[in-house]
Amino acid sequence: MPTRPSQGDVMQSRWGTHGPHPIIVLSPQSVLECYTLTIHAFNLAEKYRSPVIMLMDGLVGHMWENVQLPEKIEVIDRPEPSVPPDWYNPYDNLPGGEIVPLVPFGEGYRYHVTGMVHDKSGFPTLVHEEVEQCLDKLIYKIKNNLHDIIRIEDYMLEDADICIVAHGSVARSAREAVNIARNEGLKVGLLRPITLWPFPRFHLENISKRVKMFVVPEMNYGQVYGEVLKSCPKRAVRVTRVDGELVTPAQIMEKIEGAAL
Amino acid sequence: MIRTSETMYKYLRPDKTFPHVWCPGCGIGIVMGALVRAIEKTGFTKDEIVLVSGIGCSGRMSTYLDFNTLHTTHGRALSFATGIKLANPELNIIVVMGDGDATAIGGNHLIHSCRRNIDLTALIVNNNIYGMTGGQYSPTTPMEHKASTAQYGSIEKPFDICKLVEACGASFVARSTTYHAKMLDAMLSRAIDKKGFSVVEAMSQCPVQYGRRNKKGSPVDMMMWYKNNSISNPAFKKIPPGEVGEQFPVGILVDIEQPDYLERYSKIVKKAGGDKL
Repeated sequence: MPTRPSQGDVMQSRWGTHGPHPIIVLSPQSVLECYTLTIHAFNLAEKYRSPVIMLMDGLVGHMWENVQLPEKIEVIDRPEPSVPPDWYNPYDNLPGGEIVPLVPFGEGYRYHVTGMVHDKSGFPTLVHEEVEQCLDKLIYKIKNNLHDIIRIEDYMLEDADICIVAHGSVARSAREAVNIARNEGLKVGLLRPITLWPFPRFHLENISKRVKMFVVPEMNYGQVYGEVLKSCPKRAVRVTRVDGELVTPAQIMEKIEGAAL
Repeated sequence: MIRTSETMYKYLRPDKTFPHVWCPGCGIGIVMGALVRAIEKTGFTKDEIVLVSGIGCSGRMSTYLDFNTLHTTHGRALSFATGIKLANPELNIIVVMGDGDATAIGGNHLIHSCRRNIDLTALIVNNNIYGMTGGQYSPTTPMEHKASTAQYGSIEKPFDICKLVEACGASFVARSTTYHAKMLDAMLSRAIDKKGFSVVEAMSQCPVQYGRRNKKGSPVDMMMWYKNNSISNPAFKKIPPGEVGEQFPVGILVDIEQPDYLERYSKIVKKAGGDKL
């Protein structure tokens, strides 16, 4: 469906390339966030030497709205190498998993970059110990920094019985649904993963201790819903829509009101 | 005694990257030798050169040579190279691709790099086959020639790489073969010095995947075939159409002056109120 919104690529963004690998995926919900998260995406890419995907649904990508740009923007510049060229190896394993900065080409630090699985000197390898080391390193540099990478936003979650989990444009409908529900006296809150991958499963685990159930609206058949189920054993229901129209607050309310608590 | 001061050894990486992956009789080593001699002739230092390659037999060249090297995904070498050039226009970027890499998977990148006339040097090693992956036919496999995926002969008309890039607007187009190694040296150094998008097609024998299937004989026979069928461009033009047969022109086919992408881009930057790229 060209030009129609959908969120069918949640899994594509995570698993769309070969092999076991980590990836960072950000999901903006507004025009302002498209701006701020793009800068954030570059910051993360510089810091973790990892591709970062800005995953926008059709609505967020095509939307026009007024924005007030932030006065201060954090920009993380690539750190300078701490050693001379002869000592430099961009694939060094530093203690504590510290990430070696990648020096731009042309500054006297010559090295090899490959898209293949590589050994400690950066050249393709088929030696299985080296393959495992390479992949482990890629995985753990993200896994060990989840606290820094994962961003979420919560709305009226403190005393909530029901937690809506929604990202991108659907999160805007979800927020409105929370307002409607609160007016009706229902204790509903919203968790919005801004970082979609790595998935904020520890946040969900914590919230699951307080809430009775999750409601997961999304414009697909339940890709984030599956992740919610994986993250915690709590009851979860999905609100799906795949016809190119938005999930409305009323649709979410229907599920909330229908849920026998 | 071989000394590391000899041209070839000066540029090879002595690490564990050897032995190389190329089969006995393969022409890519000759092409790599020509590239090294050409770079030596231009006088650029190792730090001023970026060697970008794609995937395949020729893609491994970046592994063996001691420059800033980038071994990219299949077909995308020109895109990575374009990014590097825009990030640092001072760098001299040489992109090594095979025929499959450059004209099939990366075919669009090739034609648009020509159209943009971005200041890169593309070295296309044409061995008429996908060698590394098992001898599948490529866009330059001649009609009726056999490949692992064309057991009864290819039924597709092959690309003439030089004609293709000329039509798309490249500033410098030349063709040589592994038999004409010295000519290849000279063309590559001209291409590296040339401002704008330059393409050198190096015809190179693949005795294992292509030659064996098509009864082309030994690597020497295949190189002799290059010798016997190549003619200079002016002589080639004199052959009446329809009488060409298997002959092909070698030498410099296009060498024109035209503004390159960065020149036009810096004008736009100025127009938009900026002062540098």
